[in-house]
Amino acid sequence: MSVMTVRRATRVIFAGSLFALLAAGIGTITAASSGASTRASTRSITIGASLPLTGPLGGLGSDQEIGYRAEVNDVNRAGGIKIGGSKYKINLTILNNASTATTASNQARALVTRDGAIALLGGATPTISVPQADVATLLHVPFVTTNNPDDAFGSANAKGWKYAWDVFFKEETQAKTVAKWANVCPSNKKVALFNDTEKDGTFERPLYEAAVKADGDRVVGTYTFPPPTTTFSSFITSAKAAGAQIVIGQMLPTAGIALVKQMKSLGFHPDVVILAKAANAENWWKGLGSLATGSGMELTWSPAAHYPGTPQILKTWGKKLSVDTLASAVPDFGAAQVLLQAISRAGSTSAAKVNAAIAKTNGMFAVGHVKFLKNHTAVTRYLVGQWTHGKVVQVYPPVPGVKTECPMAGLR
Amino acid sequence: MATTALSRAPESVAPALPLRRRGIAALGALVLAGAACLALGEVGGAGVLSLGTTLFAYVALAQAWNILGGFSGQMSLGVGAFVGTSAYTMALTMTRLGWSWLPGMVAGMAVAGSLSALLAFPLLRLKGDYFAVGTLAATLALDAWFDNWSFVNKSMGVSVPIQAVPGQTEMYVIGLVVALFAVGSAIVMRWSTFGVRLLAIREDDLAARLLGVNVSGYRLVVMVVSGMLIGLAGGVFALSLVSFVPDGMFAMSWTIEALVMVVIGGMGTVIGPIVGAVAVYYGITTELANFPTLSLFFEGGLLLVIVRFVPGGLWPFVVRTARRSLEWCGTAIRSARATRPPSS
Repeated sequence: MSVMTVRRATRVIFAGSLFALLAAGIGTITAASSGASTRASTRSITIGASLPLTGPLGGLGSDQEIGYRAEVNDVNRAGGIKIGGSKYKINLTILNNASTATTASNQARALVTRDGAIALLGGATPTISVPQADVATLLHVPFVTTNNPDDAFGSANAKGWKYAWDVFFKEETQAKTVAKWANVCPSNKKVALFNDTEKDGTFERPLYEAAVKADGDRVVGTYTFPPPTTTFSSFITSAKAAGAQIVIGQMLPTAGIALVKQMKSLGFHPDVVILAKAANAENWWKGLGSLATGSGMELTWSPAAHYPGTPQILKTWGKKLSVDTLASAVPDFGAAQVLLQAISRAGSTSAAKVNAAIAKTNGMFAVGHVKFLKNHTAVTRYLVGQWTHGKVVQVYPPVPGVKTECPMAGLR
Repeated sequence: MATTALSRAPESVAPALPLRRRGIAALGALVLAGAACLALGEVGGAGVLSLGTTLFAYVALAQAWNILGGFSGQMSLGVGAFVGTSAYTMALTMTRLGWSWLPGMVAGMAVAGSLSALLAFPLLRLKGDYFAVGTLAATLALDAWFDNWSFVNKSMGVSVPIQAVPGQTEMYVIGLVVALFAVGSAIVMRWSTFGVRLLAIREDDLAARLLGVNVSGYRLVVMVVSGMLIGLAGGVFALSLVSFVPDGMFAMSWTIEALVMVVIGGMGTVIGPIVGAVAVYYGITTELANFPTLSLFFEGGLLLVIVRFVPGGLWPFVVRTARRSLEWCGTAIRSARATRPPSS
């Protein structure tokens, strides 16, 4: 046998081995995942969720997974969900859309058509949730989501949503609350607004402007930018030159972290900083460290709000999860409660019946009172928290014994 | 134009049968394959219909890229430009003008083709890597423009009217027709004198020009055809996704998907992109949907193995191996007959 033949045979064997390894890897993973779903399929129903577990919204998505799984685990521990006299275990299938809208849409479709999900839970922000809601509407599958400001979500379908529902706060409440909190600290009342051009950011910008003006503040800079932007030096220089001491904004976490770091490096030290959506997850502190001290964070849940089930939530999760993670995860826990209770009330897995039951929701949940409006949104409260030494405390509406720390220490 | 080893599929250069007969045979096989897919859609459930629709759109996308990159040797990184333009045209004509999906899709295809023709004038003056970078720059520019253009709702994106989106079975048929059209176009191009001239341009454009081939004209036509086919695929994606934003529709990921599918399946062949689309979308993306990071890992791993060990792609490798096996069997039989003692 010649040297060339031996070399060729070695190449073929090596390439074949690599192919076999790749195929075996895919096969093993597929078998493992399908095995898990087969085990769960005995007398069970499937609920699907495509979440941004990685990418720019990774922090929010991870907290969503915690919230959704917690409610499903609670129900399964209690024997399952009661539908028409029988109990069914819930198989929660969660896929990672990596913060990509097209993947979120494709996964929502696959969860229904391939995995047989009878209902869907949504991902964070309108960019991810609206395409999923469209798919749910197209396939006639109930879809409950959260982490989407109400008007941005409610207006995303010109003809009105039929199968999609959202439990979150209203943008107007958000703007007014943020403006009021910003004035708790003494400042020169000059405001710089930083908003990305996602649906919620675009909605929020004029509302912020109106709210701060109503509170006697003056907007000295309005800066808008596409979502992936992470370079803000020209905006920061302009805001600094205009003498802004209050920074209010709405953007992706990656953009928010970059903005605060660049403010520090360019010597811009506003007294108040609150960047909605950006500061909403643990990644905010991980990304900024002590730089985040004193920054604001929007909350839909806090222990001080005394919603139903708060002592139980703190007892079950309080030791494992920080308050900021809970603040982000509990709304998702609440959204899952709304969906599962509606399925139980419907007494059927029929999409039309479950959808009708969701529409009739009217009661107290982990995020407070939930009752859906005509635009398929249920309004929750808006609270402001403040990051202090890696923890979040509710500071607005004021809580006895807790004071807003002014000025923002992280940038000093 | 200098070509890489990747862009050559040796067995695709010299067909054994006359061009027209091979083309007709291939079109016949395509019709049979289409009928089989249609039958599969009839018996398959919602999962098969949904999977099939996306797979067909990817087949069309990969084939469109292959016509440009594999047949004419122009490596484009601008697939997203045509997917995005077509999807936006479709959504805007449906929402603002009240058109149904069919004229919307045709309009999307026409606008993608026009964009292609428009871009061809500056881009066709560039060669090799510069052409690739030019197509990428055009896509990034379009993405930035749409992100900031009020008429298309800026980065908030647009939606196709839900009530105008066809049902799952209809979507499957639409996807199938688009894929068949793209593969049919590739067959007609490949097994015609047009295709032979295209291959000549791919192998050596200077020699082709000296032989009287209108190199610029052929490249323009192939770029427009590729753009239109990508536009058609973009229309199917738009109907499947319903609502979308510029960053999703003008994304680099469309180019990467098409390129990976074509390279894995076999660049410059007609069957290769189909094999690649099935291997990548069905074999990896769908099977590993729960593990997106692993999915990318396996996709990259497979690409590395193909590029290193089977640079022509899977399909040419299968054809070559089958041909050699048959030759080996024939030789073995002949030698066995030759050594057999003569019977009494």
